Amino acid sequence: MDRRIDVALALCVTALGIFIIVFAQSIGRSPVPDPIGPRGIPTGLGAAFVLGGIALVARRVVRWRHEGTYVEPEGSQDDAGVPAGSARRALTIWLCAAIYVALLPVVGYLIATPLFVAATLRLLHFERQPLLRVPAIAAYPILYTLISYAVFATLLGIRLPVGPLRDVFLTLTGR
Amino acid sequence: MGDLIGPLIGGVGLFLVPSVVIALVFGMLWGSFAGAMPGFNQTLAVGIVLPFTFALGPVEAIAFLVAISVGVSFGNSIPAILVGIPGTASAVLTAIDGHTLHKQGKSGLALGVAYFAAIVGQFVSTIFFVFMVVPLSQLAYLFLAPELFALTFVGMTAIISLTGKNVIKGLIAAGIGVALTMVGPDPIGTVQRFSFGIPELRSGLQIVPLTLGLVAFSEILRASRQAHDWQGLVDGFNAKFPRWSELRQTVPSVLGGTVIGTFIGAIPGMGGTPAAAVSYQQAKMFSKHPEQFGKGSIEGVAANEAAQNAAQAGEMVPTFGLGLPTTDSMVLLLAAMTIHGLVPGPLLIQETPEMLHAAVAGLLGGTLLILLIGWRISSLLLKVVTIDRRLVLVFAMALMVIGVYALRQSVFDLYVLVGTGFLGYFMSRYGYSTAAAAIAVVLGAYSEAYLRQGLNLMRNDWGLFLSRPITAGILVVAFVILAYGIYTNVREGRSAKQMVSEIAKPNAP
Repeated sequence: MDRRIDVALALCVTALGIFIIVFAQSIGRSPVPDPIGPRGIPTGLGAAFVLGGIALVARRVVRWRHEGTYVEPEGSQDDAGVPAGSARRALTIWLCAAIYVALLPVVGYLIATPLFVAATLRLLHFERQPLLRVPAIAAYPILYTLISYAVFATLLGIRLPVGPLRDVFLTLTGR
Repeated sequence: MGDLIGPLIGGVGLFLVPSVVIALVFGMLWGSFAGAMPGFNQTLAVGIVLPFTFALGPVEAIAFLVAISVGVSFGNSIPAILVGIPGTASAVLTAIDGHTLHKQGKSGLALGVAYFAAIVGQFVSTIFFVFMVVPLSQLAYLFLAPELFALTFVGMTAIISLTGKNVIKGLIAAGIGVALTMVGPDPIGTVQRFSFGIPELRSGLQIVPLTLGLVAFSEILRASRQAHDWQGLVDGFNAKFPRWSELRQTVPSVLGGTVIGTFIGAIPGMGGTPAAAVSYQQAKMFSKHPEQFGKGSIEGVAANEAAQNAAQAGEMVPTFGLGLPTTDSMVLLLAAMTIHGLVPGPLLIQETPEMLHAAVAGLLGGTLLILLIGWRISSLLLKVVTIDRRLVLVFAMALMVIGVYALRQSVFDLYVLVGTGFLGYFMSRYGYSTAAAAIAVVLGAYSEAYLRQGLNLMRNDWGLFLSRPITAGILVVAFVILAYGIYTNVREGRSAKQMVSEIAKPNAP
């Protein structure tokens, strides 16, 4: 565990606490009076975040000279015996997911999904034999998209965003 | 006695409902499939399919999710024995002894013992579950808002104190969960908080995307750091089911593991992995052949498998009896209930006894299905190990997105899912328990409401609020647990420091 990130996260917790305390003061008064009120819990929680964050930073700072950059991990670890990539891959995949969600209402499920699946498979270095002469990196995303669309839109009746394909669907369904 | 037998009969009665049977079959098969896949834990197995349960009735949904848990506990032993790779952490000790037996050419014996222990563990613990949860739920009417607040408080502190390496981080994680529930109307006067004029925030954040993001989406991100699969490790097997004379030797270990698994599973933050470890140690202590443990002991396999299977039912005792989820997969179970408009809490079973019947049907039905087809599908489950893990991770992520979208057709919920996934990734990597945060998400909103309603009920007098005997008793327990957590943290910190200084000594000039 990189102690610099650990300290940065503790500082984020402190900042979050300050943010909550500041914004809690703008919360309106409740029509039902009670000793805690709508501001009470947020203010208390904000204060706890500030104190907790400071305590975590202080703990690292006190030991700073005696510890190396990488300290004993406190969180979940990678699977043993298997090489682990850097956090960059995980964060890039997260970014792909965020872009996918943003694109979904714009370009629709049928276009955004295969792009997302193909991009993340690529990031994970997915390599397989072609499927029906279609390269695996394209075949699996298309197959997944078609099957999932059929299940959700047809069987479960979920209205998935169709984006620019709306006119095509209107023509096909006559509605 | 009728109160105790009733839920068992009610659960068995659901086997006559075709939709429940279909849910059980799919749940058990999906659970076994997911359990057999290394690195694919129960939280992910439940998390991926959770949003789909909106299409089911509440009884079918609960039976389905519980059957998944049963399937995961069974399925994880197969790669553990035949490949030496535990499907989940709770099967680690099975991998040690079971895989050694496999290498000695005793695959059938190892698999047969695991199969026998899983069935006995699940079946007996289901009866324990009913006998523990029914009396617990009958206390529900003693609980007013102050007691309910105390319960939610103990639920959050227990998991922080018993699981994390750092209590401060655990408390902050729970605080983050509570903070997420503060967005939207406050629970008493419906005054808007932290909605910043954004229309989607005015009704608050939804529990399902929040909990899924924190515990499941973040786990996929963590798993994606390792792009690998286990193809080539797996060879076929042709195992013969062991004779009763061989299985009979494991009966004490199986029964011991079942009792230990049920009770340890019921402790917040514990679950199958510590239950299996304690059961294994206990079996070794009482064994006539302790020297075989770790070198291919069938008693070791039996104790571990019985305990991790029995822990499923144990985890459900506080979840159903008091509305307190003890593990992240139980948080998801409660989140599934909220999809159907059910309110998790001590009144759950009293007001909707069919939920208890559904849980019993899930446990018993899943076990019955393992008994009927578990042995036959073992070789099929072994093939699951060869499925490319990268495909599974990507499809799991995409399925979670479409599943959450299907709930309310809200793109905003997807931003919540992805956002909390990002938050959960850093939290889990740096020791801020995502399970504690997810539990706080489920309990947090109720906790504030109970606290403020309780104070109103006690004429705004803190003294009256805190001096109610049950409230005071539960709060004392919560603080004792918290103090214990801090004490163990400090003790571990000191011993680590001592170890470091001892290592450094010889190098000192």
